[in-house]
Amino acid sequence: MRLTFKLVLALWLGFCALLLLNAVHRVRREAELFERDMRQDHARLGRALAPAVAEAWRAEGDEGARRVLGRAVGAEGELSARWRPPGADEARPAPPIVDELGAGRVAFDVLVDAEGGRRLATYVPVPLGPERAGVVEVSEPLAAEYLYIRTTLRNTLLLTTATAVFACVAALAVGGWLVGRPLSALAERARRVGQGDLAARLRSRRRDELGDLARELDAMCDRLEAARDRLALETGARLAALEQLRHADRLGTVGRLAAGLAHELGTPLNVVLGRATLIAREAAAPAATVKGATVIIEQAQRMTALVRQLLDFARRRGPQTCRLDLRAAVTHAFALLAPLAKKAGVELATGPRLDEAYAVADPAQLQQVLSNLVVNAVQATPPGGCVLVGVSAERARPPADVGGDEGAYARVDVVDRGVGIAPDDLGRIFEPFFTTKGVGEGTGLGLSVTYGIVREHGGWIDVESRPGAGSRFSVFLPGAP
Amino acid sequence: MRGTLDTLPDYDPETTLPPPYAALPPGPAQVLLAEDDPAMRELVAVALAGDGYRVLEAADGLAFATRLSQLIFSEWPEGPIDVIVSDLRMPTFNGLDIVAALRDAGVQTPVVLMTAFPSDETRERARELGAVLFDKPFELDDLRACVTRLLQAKGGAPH
Repeated sequence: MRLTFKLVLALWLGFCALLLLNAVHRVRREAELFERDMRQDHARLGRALAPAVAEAWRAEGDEGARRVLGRAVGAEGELSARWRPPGADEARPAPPIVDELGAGRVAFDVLVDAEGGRRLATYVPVPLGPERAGVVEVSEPLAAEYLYIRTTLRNTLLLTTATAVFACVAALAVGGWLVGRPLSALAERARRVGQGDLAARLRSRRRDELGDLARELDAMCDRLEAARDRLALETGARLAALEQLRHADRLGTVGRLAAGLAHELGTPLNVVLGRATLIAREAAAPAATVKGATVIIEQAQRMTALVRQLLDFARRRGPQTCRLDLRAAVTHAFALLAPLAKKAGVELATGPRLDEAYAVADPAQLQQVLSNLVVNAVQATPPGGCVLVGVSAERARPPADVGGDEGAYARVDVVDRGVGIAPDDLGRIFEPFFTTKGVGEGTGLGLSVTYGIVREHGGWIDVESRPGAGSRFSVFLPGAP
Repeated sequence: MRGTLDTLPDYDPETTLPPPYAALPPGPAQVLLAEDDPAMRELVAVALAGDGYRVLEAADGLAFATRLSQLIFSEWPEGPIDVIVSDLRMPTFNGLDIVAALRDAGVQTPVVLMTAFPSDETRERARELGAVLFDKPFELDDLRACVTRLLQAKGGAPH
């Protein structure tokens, strides 16, 4: 608003100066008019009285003239009239007046009395005969004029002040409306743009330069926003691609390592197993030896299972998809996992929703996904607890690292009220070999494989977990009608 | 009769021809065993010999190929080989390639291939060659049962 103030102040000062000039001029002119009126009145009065005064003077001399004047003017308040007989020299008027009177014209003068009061004196010649003339002096104090001037001045000043105040208020209002407000809005918008807020628009409908500026600012915001969105999208895509590459790289490394290791381990494992089997079957062997051999066989079989899991991970094939009934898949998985859950004392149940939902998925791989998630949930749940598996069909928008538009997805929720996942671990659970289970309980590949399978299906996994409260794994797979 | 630790002979891959089992009376079915890992070869040889077969051993792909070429060109002095049991990955020659060459030559001897954690492609190729694939580590009993079955299908049996 400072610009408005400056503009208004400049205009207003000029306006006030004009008003003052006008006031001075008016007062001066009024005063002049007032004085002229007084003079004319005096002259008329003087001329009107002149014949009567001359007659009285001829009849009764100076006394007669004074009596006539006293009768005529005595009741006229401030106005006074005096007779100046011919040849009288007391208080003679100044020379120019005498000259005027000599020529038979009315003359004027301003007299100052003993108290400093000013009076306007008008001298009217009264011809009394050849070469003789008296003078009627009509005088009036100028106080009336001063009063009039003061009143005029006061009125003018009041009017001027009122006009100036009104002009100031009006100029401020109009200036604020025309300049101040739009400029403030522009400045505020520019400040917000500087802070990175590109969303709002001014949408000005003004047809002036400020309107042009607002529209240009809006257009600039449009372009900046488009550029920023494009940049964010590109950056997000690049980061997602990088993350995908890193993941693929990790998987590739793990795969090569696993394949190489497996080939090297297969034969020694076979020898250990075979030899241990031979020892265990040795009829003459002591019981302790047989027991030892049996333990060796069990451990070798466990190693074999681990290597197989590694290889499954390394040799994951692409999904061979078909339209798959998720409810049926869950039922199937429950049937397979029931013994395990029973052993752990955990109940498997469906819910909270079990809608009809079809996904485009590889049946075997989906079973693997369900098994991994349910087994994890069972392992996280204390005995007596329950693992819930729900199925629903919904519209969802894939997260940024998956990308793509909102679409129809089939969703499977695996919910447990178990130990939960620490927030620090949550970001790493899909990494190969990341495990929080004890030594020998897991390879840290299960969730990594699950994640890989779901991603290969074009889906994703949403995880929500609170330590002590439990976890929810939501698998989103492309839906089938 | 079953192979046990007590019956295991001292082992020397260089002396696989004739192996100790060659001393068995003539007539038993002959198994050609190719495996580059001595411990594994010995284990399988003991198991098969325990079932009464005559086991001829080859320590690597080259020895295996040599044996087979002798078989093809009828230079094999000890009569026909009834079953071939071979590792897949061996120095010099790959078991699969050798079996493929054998089949190309028109030899339809039953083949058992052993390999550690085979890939799907390997399984497919073995199936095409009409070979039984054993996934290391496997149970020796399974291998023995398989060899017996192959021999029965062929019309021969261990003596």
